[in-house]
Amino acid sequence: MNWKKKGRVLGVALLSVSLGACDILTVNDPGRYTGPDLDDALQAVADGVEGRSQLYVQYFAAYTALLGDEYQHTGTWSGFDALDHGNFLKEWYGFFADYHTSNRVFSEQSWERFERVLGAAEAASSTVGAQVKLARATYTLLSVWHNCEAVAEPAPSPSLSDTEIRKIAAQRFSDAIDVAQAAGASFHGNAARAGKAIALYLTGDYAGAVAEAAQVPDGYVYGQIFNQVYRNYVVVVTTKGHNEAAGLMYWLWPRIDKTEDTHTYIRDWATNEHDMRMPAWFDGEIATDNITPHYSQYKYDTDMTLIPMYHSDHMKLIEAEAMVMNGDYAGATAVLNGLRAAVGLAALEVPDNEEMMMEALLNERFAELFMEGYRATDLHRFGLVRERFDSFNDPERPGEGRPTKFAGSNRETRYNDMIEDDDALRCWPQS
Amino acid sequence: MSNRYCISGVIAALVLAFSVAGATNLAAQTGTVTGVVTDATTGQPLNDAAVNLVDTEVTGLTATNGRYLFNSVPVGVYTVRVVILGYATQEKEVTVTPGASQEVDFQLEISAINLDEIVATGVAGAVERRKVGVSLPSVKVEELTETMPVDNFSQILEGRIPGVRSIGTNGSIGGGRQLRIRGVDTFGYTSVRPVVYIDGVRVDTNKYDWGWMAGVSCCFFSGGAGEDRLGDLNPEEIDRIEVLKGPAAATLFGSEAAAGVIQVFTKRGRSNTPSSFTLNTSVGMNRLRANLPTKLRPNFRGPDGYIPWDPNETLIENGLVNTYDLSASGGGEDVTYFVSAGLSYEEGSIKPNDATRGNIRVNLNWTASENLSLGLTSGYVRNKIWALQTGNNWLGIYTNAMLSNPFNATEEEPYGGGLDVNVANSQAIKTFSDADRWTGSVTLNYTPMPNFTHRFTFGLDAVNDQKTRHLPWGRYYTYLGERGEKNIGYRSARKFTSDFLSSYDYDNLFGMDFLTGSLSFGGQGYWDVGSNSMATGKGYAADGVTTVRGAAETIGDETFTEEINLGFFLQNRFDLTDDLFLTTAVRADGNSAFGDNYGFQVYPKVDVAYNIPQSVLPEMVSSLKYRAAVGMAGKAPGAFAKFQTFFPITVLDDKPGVAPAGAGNQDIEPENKREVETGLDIGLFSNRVGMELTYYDARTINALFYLPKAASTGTYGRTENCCVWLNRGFEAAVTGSVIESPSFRWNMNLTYEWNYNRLHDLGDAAVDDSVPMYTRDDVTGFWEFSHWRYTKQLSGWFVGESIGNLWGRYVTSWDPEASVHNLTDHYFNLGLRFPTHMGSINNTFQIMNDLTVRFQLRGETGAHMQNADRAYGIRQYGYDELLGEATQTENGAFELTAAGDSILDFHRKVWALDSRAHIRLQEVSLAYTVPETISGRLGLQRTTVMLSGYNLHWWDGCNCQDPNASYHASDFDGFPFLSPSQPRKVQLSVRTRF
Repeated sequence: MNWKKKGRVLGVALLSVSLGACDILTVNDPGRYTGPDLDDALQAVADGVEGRSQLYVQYFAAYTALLGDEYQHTGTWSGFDALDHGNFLKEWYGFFADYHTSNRVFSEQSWERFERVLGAAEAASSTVGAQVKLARATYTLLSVWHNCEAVAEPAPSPSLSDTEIRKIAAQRFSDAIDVAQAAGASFHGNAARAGKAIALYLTGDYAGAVAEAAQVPDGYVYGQIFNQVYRNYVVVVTTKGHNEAAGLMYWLWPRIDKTEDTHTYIRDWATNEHDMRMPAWFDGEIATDNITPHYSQYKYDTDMTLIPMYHSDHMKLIEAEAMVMNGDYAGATAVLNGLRAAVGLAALEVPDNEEMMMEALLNERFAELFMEGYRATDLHRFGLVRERFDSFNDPERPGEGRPTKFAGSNRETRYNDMIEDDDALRCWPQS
Repeated sequence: MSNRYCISGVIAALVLAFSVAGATNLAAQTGTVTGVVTDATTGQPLNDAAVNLVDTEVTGLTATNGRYLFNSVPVGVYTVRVVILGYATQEKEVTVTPGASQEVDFQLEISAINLDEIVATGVAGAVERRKVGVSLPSVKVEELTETMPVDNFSQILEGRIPGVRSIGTNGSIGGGRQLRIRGVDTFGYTSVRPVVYIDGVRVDTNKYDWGWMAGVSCCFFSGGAGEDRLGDLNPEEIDRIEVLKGPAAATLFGSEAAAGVIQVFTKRGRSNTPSSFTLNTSVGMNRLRANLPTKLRPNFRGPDGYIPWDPNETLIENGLVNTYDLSASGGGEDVTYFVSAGLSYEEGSIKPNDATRGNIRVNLNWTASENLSLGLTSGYVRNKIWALQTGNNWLGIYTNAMLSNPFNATEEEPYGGGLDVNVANSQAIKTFSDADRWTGSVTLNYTPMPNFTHRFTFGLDAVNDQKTRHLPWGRYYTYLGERGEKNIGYRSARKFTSDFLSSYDYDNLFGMDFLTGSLSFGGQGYWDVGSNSMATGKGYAADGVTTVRGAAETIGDETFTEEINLGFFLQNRFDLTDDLFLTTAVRADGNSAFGDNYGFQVYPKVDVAYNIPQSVLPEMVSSLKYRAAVGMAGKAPGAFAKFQTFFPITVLDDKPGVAPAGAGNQDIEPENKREVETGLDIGLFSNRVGMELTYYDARTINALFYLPKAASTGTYGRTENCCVWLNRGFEAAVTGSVIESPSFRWNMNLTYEWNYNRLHDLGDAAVDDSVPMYTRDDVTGFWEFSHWRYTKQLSGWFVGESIGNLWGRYVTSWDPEASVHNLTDHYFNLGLRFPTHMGSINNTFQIMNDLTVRFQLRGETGAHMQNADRAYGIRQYGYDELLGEATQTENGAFELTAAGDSILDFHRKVWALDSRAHIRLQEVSLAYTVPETISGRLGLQRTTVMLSGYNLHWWDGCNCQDPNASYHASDFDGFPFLSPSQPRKVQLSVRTRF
């Protein structure tokens, strides 16, 4: 055999393979898009930006319910236990702000893509532009929904207080309103107006808030939409048939008819009528901690039930609160009674004093915004956390020292050069 | 990058082109050499001894009767050499004459150390151990299976090689086991496994539940104890296993060898040997140790007076074990064969859980000419596993039985309800993995000259795994209700390997004595392609339909990965003297996962072996080899880590959307590990005692790290090369013949390993930080703040810490008035997750040549766990520790004593810190060889009856069921979390040849 010749043939073959090595070492991920791919997928980009702006509302609803007085933990998860007892570390819940901050930057990058691909004028009058602008403002607002600080610009940028961030959010909702109007995207425009109203009243600008709220049509609801992949976390972790890791807090139990397996409602704080804004029941279960009777909400009755983010009833509450702040108790009561009448509840008397008025306002907000993630914020902004929890006389849930908000992002503090990584400088409101 | 690849390829190709130029054909008159190899003390024939004619390619193995045979040996004078592990090498001269048969018998003396043994792993071409400057341990599998049934690949390595940790971590038959070498020293420590080759083919070693990898979040099938693909291997097919522990030894494996390499060699036929059949069959049982902390449950009553079930009595059952293996081997002058078929069925102690595995293997070798041979290996396995629902899993059988409250026990829920799922409903779930796998290779050996060899190997390992889970309609499950669910998915893994090696031995090159040695060069490529897919259907109208299509709601997902690696190497060994050997090598790798701005990775190595002349050694020292090596190996980045990508998401009303995924890094390099290894191989008392002592000091540089970034950059971070890990250790293996006589032999093997690792540097991105230091009061167990340690920190990792340290808050005091434990203000380092000291004792007693008794004790210290099992069981009122402090009145109300209140509060606040230190009686076997006068009447040859036990008992102080338990069946040892112990196993086996 001519081995010399065959060896050379083999050598040439290996040489050919080697020369092609550069291409051989090229792989692609068929499960991911690259940047250039997205220039042809602007609608998907806009939907992605907007869709993700909704996805953490469900966690807020559950986690703030545990931090506030809507829920108690009834399972085995130490995280829920810590939230329920106000016994968690400063750095734990900063990821809320991280999520919204990183996605806000993506919304800004997406807007740049739209301007590059569509041109500035077309982007500013497009529906996809309205989606992205609304999402940007929403991300900004949510970054301090229950966190006391966040950043508002791409890194490096300083940390700002929740009040400052909300003012910036209001400006960004204005941008969204402009683009939505130019695009004729009224649905997104109304969401932006409602978002702006919320941002403003939370900063104390009631006049501005009421002006925006008034433009949101009755019956309007913009909510977190669930789909085949993303399910309503509140339902998934807290209801019968799913996990029962949390349930309605025990102070609410006397207001719920203990008729097993029968859906009912939490009784009204003032009249003891069934309040249809708060569907709840004793589901007949001992929760997963094997100890606690499980009282469950069913406002979200399936894991596909939408969680309201911006809606007209909330706008009415803003209007009522503004009136309370102006001392117009009769006007405020009338607005609240309008909301009560819509669910068949008897009207409230006009309160005689501020304390009674505030009690009415807070109770009506509790009912109207039940499990929407606002209760803990209300307790915080009216300085009621300590008083409220002390009233339970519960050694495991003392009011003193209980966190009233989540801190800002630990990650942002550590890796953003504009923020001094000093624990003493980080906000951490406690009662 | 491209030029570098091409240049190296060109060099390799040119070398190949010229390397075969010297091919010649030889022809001569021939004769035969044959003989029998026996144990000098007992006279027993020695199987599988390597016999060769020195300085020729004539080589073979002895058969079970100790006989070897070389036909067609050209006339001349030869030296016949016999080498076998455990015996001293012998050589004898023989003169071959035309047409005559020369009988050359050998009686070998036992030797605990044999530096003439040929090793093939980690070196370019087979070479005697005395010339190698690294530790290269091996296990002769057939020697094990002769006297003890070995059912699992992991068991082969368990407690036999210092530095190799191969243990069972859960009681799921077919579930993942832990396998790692020399501890851990990488950020990705939870998924590190050595690379495994079978007959030169890189194979799939996945052990993780991949249901969730398929992207459908519903499908964490069994709590993490995924099927172990190494469990596909049938130990009866394996001849031996060689282990490269670290980069100093594994440099030639390049960008995949940082965690070590394991080479599996399957059995081959012997030339000129008549067909020999081996039948092995065994029957036995698995049974979980009844040490579940639930024995007090029946002392209490449920609300209706129902007596709660104790899982010790009701959950633990006998699990049948049954195996059959039949193999045939033999060969003629040119062709040898090994053919085997095996069937094993193993049932778990908690049911349903079983594994049915069928293996078929055909290995052929064809010697086409004096200088050309072809080897074919083909192994097929079908492995069907009914996985145990367990671990961190709402649906777990064990989980729900253990986390039940006996005060809630009813006839319908006799354990007390568990985590909201009735145990009977958990047991009604069907969870199958059904895998087909083929692993095969073609190897061409071409030897144009006795001193110039070439080997080309091409192989493929192909795994198809179909995974199915069915939650029947009408039964209640958390998250699902009673509507039923079906998941069905596929995992496909393809690993292609090609390998080329040339080796040229030279002697007195250019007339210079010191230019003697061996030059080797070659290349290796692998191509890994994998995909997972899963379809899920939820919500059935009624019982009867079980297809995904039949469900009201269906979802699906798919993932894909691909990695390609090309590497070239050059190695030269200088035989500087007859005793001193210096090996230098370099490997260069290109890999599809390397960043586009990064080119080849070069891995160099040097090792030296010095066999100190016997003339200078004390009398008691029979041999002494000093070895030292320094080498480097790598670990490639994630397959697609270099790309900036966006992932598709479903948003709004099921609309397609996109969101940022990987930030990408086109500068990313492989993680590299440099290792210095030095040691001594010592033979004492005429080599009756052998010692291998090894110290290693490894440094992982350019460690792959997911570097966190501020969210306001638009990303959470990206994978970068940044950090340095240190990993040091000491390994000792002592093997010796304690008693040696014709009627009684006692061999002992001791192993010991110490391992320590530390995070040395976190790179420029690290920030100044401090960690709280606490001290523990030995009497109360409470912790007290001591001081702050100032260090660097990055993403929760601290310079100076060991990998995987357990972090948590712990108890500082107990307030009996308020019944409250107070906790530390800070998270702090509670202790080590991984063991620091490990050891084993293997004893073999051979009595009257007929009876062999073996046992293995294995132990370890240094590791701790955060005992989540204990905490959850107590919180659920399910464990004896709390029930011992509970009383129940006649009306069913129960109360805790003050101590009970304390226990409950403690375990609600923290997961107790418990030690994993223990000693385990791992193996016991009693093997009786039936006298030939009896077996011969049945037409049988060597026939052995074995009674054996595995994992029989352990002694610990962990307040747990098993200190080796890990919920994820993985390297993530931090907490056990509802993973049942590995069961005890007892088997009766018969092994015979005919």
